[in-house]
Amino acid sequence: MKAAFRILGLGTLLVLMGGRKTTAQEPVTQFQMFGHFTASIEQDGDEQKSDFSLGEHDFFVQSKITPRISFLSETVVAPLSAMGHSSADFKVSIERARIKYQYREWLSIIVGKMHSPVNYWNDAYHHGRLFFPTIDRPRSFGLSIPIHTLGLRLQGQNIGKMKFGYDLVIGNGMSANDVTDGTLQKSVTAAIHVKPWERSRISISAYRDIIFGNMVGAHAGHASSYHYAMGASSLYMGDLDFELYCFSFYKNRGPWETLIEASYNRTGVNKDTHPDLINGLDSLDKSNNQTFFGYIGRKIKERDRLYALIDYSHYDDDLHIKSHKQLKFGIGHQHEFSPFFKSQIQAERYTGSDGYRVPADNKWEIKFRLAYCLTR
Amino acid sequence: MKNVILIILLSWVAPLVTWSQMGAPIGNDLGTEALTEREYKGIFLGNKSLWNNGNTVVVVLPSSNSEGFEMVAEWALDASGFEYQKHWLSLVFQGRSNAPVFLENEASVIKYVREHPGAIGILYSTAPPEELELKVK
Repeated sequence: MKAAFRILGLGTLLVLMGGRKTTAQEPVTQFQMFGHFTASIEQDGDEQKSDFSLGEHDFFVQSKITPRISFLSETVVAPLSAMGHSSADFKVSIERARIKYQYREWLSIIVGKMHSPVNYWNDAYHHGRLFFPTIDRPRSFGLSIPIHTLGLRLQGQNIGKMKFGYDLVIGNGMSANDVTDGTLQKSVTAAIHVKPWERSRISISAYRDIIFGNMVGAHAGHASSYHYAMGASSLYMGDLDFELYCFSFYKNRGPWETLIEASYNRTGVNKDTHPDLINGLDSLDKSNNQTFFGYIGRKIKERDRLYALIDYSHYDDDLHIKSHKQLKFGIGHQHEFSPFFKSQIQAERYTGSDGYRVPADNKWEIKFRLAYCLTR
Repeated sequence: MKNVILIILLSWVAPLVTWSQMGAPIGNDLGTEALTEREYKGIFLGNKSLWNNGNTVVVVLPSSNSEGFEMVAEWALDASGFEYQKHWLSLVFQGRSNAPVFLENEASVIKYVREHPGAIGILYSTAPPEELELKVK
């Protein structure tokens, strides 16, 4: 009986080994951890406060399973924003987990959870604060940017002299979670870009989805006070058509680094799913929302950079995000101790316009951040 | 007189100009034996994933604290080794390229390229083995 098991085991081993041809097909796996600490002091009207905060800790894995198949994941452990003293006040989230099959230069097939390739920031920086040119993400990430998509992506890149690239994504929509979508409706992303210079990218994208019951799940923008709260009398509970168009420009050449992120977004009452509701809401039509983020940095030494930023958002007559008109601008300094460790200090002024559902900001803030990457 | 002035001007300006030169490329089973310098640069910047013969591109680089790494960085990216390391770190994190293989010295680069089809490296201080040597168009 033992001999039979030995023969069976040997046979299984031979079958498994049969697929291996050369050492070049050995899986190559890379582990990295990105993290950050932040301190801030702010003056909000007459109120003053200061914070030390522990940031996200992001475990990044990339593995070349076979020459053409690779796996990539980001698992983030982040403190909950709620007050608390127990070590349980953390959440764990799989932010990316995707398998990529490279068929040709002009076609890769990717399945899994990924950051929606709607703009440069979301497609390039993800949760790695080490790469962020400014301390905060653009405000649009807390408003209308659908951070994740869980689904299927077709990708091509570095095609021709202009290094043309495209991304087509179909996946679970903004109302879905990481387990189920529950509908036939899927979100659709189409994005194209060119890279006319090395370390540059110019892209445009379009994203379309339906937000069911005006409630978003795991794949929408990070929660913010600009969203209508669940249970609030002002929350519209019907389905919403959601459209987003983005433009990104990034260039890092010589001493200058520039990033522009602009978006135009519309939501409107979904007339197919709730024809009975539209009579009273027809006058709302579709909202017209805009965001603009601009960053420009200049190296003053090999490892030091001075930078300035502007972040503007204007939402009006929107059923998903409260109307507001806010503006933030600031200046900062970045010092890189190594490619894996840097500090940033940033002074910001928050302001805005009154006459909207969200009152105008009136705040000054100074932030300091240490960001790092551990690698092997 | 004009020539004298030209020579004086050139001798004055020349030390201010640096040329980043390409080293000697080596590769194994790439489906080609000659590429343009522009194409080589694109490969060492992570812009190519597959060779025409179907093998995957494996970029092999000398250790990031070596002089060879600095020379590749200056040639390929027109920047320091510091920036070149950040460039690759970012590219891999984006999921748009596989990580390059970093090896201690040029002898290790030659050994690795010899053993791995699709691998490409660049040498600055070692003569390239004849069977791995690639040409520049």
